[in-house]
Amino acid sequence: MAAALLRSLGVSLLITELSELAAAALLGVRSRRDFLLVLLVNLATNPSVGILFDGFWLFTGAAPPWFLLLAAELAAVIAEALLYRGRLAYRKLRPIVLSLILNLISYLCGVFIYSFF
Amino acid sequence: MKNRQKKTKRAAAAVFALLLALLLPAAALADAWVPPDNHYIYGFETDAGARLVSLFLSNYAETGMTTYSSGTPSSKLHSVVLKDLELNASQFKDGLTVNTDAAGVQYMTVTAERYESRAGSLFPNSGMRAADCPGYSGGSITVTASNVNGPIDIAATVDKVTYEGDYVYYVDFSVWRVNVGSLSAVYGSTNVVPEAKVTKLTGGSCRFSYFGRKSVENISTWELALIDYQTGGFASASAVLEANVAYRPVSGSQAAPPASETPSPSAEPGVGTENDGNGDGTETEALPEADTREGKGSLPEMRGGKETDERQGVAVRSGNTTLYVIILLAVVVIVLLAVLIIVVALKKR
Repeated sequence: MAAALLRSLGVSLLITELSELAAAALLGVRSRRDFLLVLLVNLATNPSVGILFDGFWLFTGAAPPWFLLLAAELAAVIAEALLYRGRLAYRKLRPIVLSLILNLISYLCGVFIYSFF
Repeated sequence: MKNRQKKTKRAAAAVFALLLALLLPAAALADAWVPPDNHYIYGFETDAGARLVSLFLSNYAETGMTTYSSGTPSSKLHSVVLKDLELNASQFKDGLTVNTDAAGVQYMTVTAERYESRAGSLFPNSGMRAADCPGYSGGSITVTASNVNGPIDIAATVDKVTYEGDYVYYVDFSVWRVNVGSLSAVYGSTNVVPEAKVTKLTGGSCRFSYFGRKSVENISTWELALIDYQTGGFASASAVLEANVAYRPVSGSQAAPPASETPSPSAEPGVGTENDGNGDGTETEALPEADTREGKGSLPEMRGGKETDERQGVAVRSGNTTLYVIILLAVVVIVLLAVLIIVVALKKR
């Protein structure tokens, strides 16, 4: 069980980090410091959301309901925006917008990958 | 200075919210484990020489089977649908008929609509067409012993499912010969449901490891197994689990059943011996009538073990909770470290 749980969290984190870093680059993020910030911010939020979903699935045997999913993702978006605020050299988008776009992309990447593999 | 304090408070609130989210599932959902119920195992003789039976455990109350269908030859999927229609014929009388050929042999036909409807419900989005199923002709499928993958004459059903913890299920199953002798012995005009003509061959046990993905595809996350009963029948019951997408192998020693629970298979499965596997050479009782509820377990043999599951569920919950809390704490440490690095090393500009 532990191995399955850790693998699930690891895969989820990997997908998120790769997709968000790639998306950030496409959105015009260029500074190494900013990329490091994106990486660390996701390290702070993704395992939190992942463990929440895994916990739900583990103890109920079902996928989390949409409202829990939405609440957790929104919490992650807000937390990330707060961490980005004042720290990013990137100025094209506001932190909350950037966070929202990056999270949306990584979520869609996750859905795509889990649906087909 | 005030601005700095405000920012610190915000950061603290964010961390607090994260910690709250982390602790929620452990506290609120610790007792929400649901024991397995309505599980099925179907067995299929692949071909006469191989003497292998593919087993998979599923729960028709759930939806999905996407992974199973994507990792399984289409011929086997057709076989699954035909077997399901055969075993649950009483549910599908509107789409099933019994006919008699010139030689007086009775056989079953399934309309293309009924077939595709059932295939669609078992394997959503698989696009299975009746026209691709062996035996299809003129808008219907003739179900005979020579259909897909050789005879559809061996079925395995679950007697008991016991959750052992750590995602491992212990399954006691029975093996039934459905088509005994000629087809007419199965599909009598007054006996569309084959239960009266089903005989128990033997039984066995194996362990299935649940290797779930966090999705709705719970059915497909049961492992696919190949039970080799060429050597020693199901007495040795070594479950060689087939590698597949989202499945993991289980070692032979893990799969071997405890000696006390090993049945005595005096009859070699698949050779036509009508025996209950208890060594007395007698026929056992037939399968009881199928449940008419669509999408639910139809044969009582396929259920069972619920009491055991619930009893063991207490220990399982406890074990899972401990592991979960350990991983949870590790996640908390990672999260706090990441936040700390951000706050300290990547200070605001």
